[in-house]
Amino acid sequence: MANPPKWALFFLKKTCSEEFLDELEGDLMELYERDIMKFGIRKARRRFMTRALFSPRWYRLPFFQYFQSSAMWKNHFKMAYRHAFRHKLSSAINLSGLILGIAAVFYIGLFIKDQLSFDKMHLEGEHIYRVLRSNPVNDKKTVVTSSQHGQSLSETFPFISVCRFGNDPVKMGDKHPLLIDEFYWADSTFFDFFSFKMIQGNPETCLKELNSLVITRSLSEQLFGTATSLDKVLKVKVYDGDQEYQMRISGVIEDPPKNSHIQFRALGAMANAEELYSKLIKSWGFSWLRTYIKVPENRLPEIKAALPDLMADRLGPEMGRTNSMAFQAFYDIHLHSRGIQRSSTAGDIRFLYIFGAIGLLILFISISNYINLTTARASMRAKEVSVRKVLGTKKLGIIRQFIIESVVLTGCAGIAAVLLMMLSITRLNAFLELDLSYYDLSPGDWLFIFLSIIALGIITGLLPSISIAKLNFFSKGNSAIQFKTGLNTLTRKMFLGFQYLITLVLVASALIVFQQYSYLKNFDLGFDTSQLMHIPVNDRFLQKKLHVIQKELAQLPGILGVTTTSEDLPSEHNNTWGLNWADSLEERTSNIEIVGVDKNYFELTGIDFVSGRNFTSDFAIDSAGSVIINEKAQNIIGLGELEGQYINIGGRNRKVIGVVKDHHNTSLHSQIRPIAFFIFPPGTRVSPDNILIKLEVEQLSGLTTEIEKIWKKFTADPLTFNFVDEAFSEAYQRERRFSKLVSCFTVIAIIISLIGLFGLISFTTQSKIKELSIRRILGATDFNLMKVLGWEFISVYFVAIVIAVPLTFYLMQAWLANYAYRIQLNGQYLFLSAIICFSISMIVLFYHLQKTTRQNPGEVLSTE
Amino acid sequence: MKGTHLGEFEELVLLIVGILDGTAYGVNVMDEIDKQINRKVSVSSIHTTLSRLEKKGFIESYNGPASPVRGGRSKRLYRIRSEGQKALELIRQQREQLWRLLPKISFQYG
Repeated sequence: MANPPKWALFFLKKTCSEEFLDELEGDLMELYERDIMKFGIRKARRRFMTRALFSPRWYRLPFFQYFQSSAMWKNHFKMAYRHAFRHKLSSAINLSGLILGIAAVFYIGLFIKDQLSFDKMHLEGEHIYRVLRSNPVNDKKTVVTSSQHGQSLSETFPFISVCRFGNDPVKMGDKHPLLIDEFYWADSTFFDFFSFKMIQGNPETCLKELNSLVITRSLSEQLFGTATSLDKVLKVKVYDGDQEYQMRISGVIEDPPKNSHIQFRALGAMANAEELYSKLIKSWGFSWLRTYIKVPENRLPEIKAALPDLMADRLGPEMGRTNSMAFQAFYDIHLHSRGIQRSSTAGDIRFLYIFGAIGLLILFISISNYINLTTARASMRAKEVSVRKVLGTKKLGIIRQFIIESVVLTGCAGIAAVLLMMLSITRLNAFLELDLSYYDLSPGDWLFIFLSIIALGIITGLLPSISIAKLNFFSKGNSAIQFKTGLNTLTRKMFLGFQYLITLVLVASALIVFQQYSYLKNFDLGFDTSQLMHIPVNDRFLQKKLHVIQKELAQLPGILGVTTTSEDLPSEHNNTWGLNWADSLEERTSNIEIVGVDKNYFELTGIDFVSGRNFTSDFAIDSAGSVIINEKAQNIIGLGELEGQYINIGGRNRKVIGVVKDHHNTSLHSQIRPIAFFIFPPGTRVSPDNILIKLEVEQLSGLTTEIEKIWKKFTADPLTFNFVDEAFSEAYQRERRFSKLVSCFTVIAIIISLIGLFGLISFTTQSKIKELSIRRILGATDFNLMKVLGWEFISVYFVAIVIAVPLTFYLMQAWLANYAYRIQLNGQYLFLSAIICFSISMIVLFYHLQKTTRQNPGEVLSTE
Repeated sequence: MKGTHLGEFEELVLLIVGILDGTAYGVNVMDEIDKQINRKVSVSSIHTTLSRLEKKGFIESYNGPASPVRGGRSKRLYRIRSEGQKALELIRQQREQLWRLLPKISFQYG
């Protein structure tokens, strides 16, 4: 008689509890024997296997048998509950550490999820690439492209489609016009590329016709008081083109979601722009568009291979060498655009790595707290565990009990952490200048969070429960002191050391990040940004009257001076011209930034002259013929003093009448560039379109109304202004936010490890209370006792410092390398961080020592 | 106490256990169901139902003698308890009551 397959029997044993095994096996065997008679052995074996495989049922799985016994559950919960409430302090410590840890990780998780969700709503993104203007020689890439970039691509490669859009500030409406900075001329393919939700209108045709306009819901509500404004006609004045259109609203869309890198308030048909800028768009140099292409799968290499020929063909071999295009995958744009010029998105993959790491570290600290405290307290559970063992609980049973306890505790901490986050998220957002919310979390996400918390409970419970289960409570007598730690000392010290290490590195990094931020903010820019008010003048027509406005403003009492410039501050340097000169050997070329100013500019901003003189008049002789350059430009040319010499800028020889000191008119993310200052008459691209007013801040409130009065005399546009020093601080918003984020989570990390330290020290002093009392009686001082207790902590601490110093140095050096202007790393921050951590540990230690030794030694020693 | 409601399959198994009169166990319940109403079910689902009926208190189990046919494993035999009998009676009464209310007309033209 052949037996059924062994593994099938084994499978039955594993999936069926003892209680039901005989019944199941017996029945299956009976059927098996019947099958042998009927079909023969081979088929019978096969049928047996199938039956065995489909035999598992919930009610007889061995694992679930355990959970079905509700008495066991109740008992576990009761023990956990009683234990937690008997030792309120250490339970509170344990829980609060976990709550803070989980809450911090939850918030970091929201941040990372938000960053990763960027642009994912655009469903076509897989096949879309952003076209970058690139220079293969120096590997510089720029987001803005000319009309020709997209056009040449679509002409050469018929299988791709192209979408371009370009910014152009406009004024909308008649009576109460609105300034719309986020207005874009867009190709009709726009809604085919990007999945924005359309409220009204046809996404395929809405940008095809001349004078069509698509606006967002919020703009529509602002203009018309309703979201449904299809087919209404709107007056749109284009500042740069100095032209007015009657545009018909052909579509209304929902506001772009915050996590789309494409943001706008209104789109106009590209046909209008082509008409308006018909000459400019033929030029490869007129870069004002962002270009995206949609490429069928796998055909991008083909395009890349054909690019050099295409560029050489269109631009000539010489220009074709330094001008090319690069393609960036659409979903990479938000997080992987570092180093690409004029890329507006603020995301950075490195941020995610940094915060992911901080989150993991915080989680690690709170877990190791829990592990340390639970194992340290194992002694208190000694009696319970012994009784269980005597009554026949196996090792596995004890492990299971403690894991369940830890899962329950972590679960409570998780719920509390999520509640804590829900309550504090608005404040955290406000403080960290983020806009995160948990509303968008799907049920799947919540399930993931729930499962992670359970997994966390199992992981945290595993180590202590194993070490508790391993204890042999009868081998060495029954005194609790002997089982004071379940983990061996080395493991415990390692956990402690890691905590110290993480805290040290985080504190030092937070200090350095903050130092770098304030260094940038308080950097001596080389000119005076204080008391400077900046008014942008977008209207071309108004720019012609700039001098009149300037004169009127200068009359106002409280105004110290007025000047005009083509660059706001901090500058973007939108106009770069060629610079040619001949030194003793050859003709040389470089680039120089062009800034249009007037003669008041240098005095008002406090920029000093190195040599030469200022412009003398506003127009006549100085206009465009004479130039003032900065030191950097003089150094690049390298011919010594240039005052009075002629250099060729933008294809014309110009007389250098003065050289000014180098100053940082851009944010400190970039180095000082060579600059040429000119006086230009109104009407060119580099003519002044900004007013700078130096005023007495005390009179500010009255002055603004006076300024507005004058402004209203010239235009119906609303007056907008800002202050230059604030604008410069705003340029470091990213650093500020980063510094805040790092310091915020560092504080959380410190609090958690402090909580852990507190618990651990409290436990150590408690377990050594007799030793301490005897020492005390024999005349030990506080300091002696501190030494006895503190040695363990201090030795671990110094090991941590030895590792933390090079680690911090390495990490921070890498981070600082991103800045053109940065602080010098030296030991002082590390030292400060070490001192902070050390003194906190010592204070905690001292506190516990005081608490312990204040008890009467006689009483301590008499209780057993 | 769990609900004493009987599902369709539970009712069927309970009836078979009654029919087999104290000798019911997994395999012969399965065979009987096949024989009487020609319905094929797996032995494991019989087990599930038997255990559920036992938990509800309609049947009880006891260990039968070990037999060599079953590889030396003893049978777990089931017999119906008075609660089970009552439950079956009740269902039957309810059904008959409902049958009486059913208008004849629906059969003539159905």
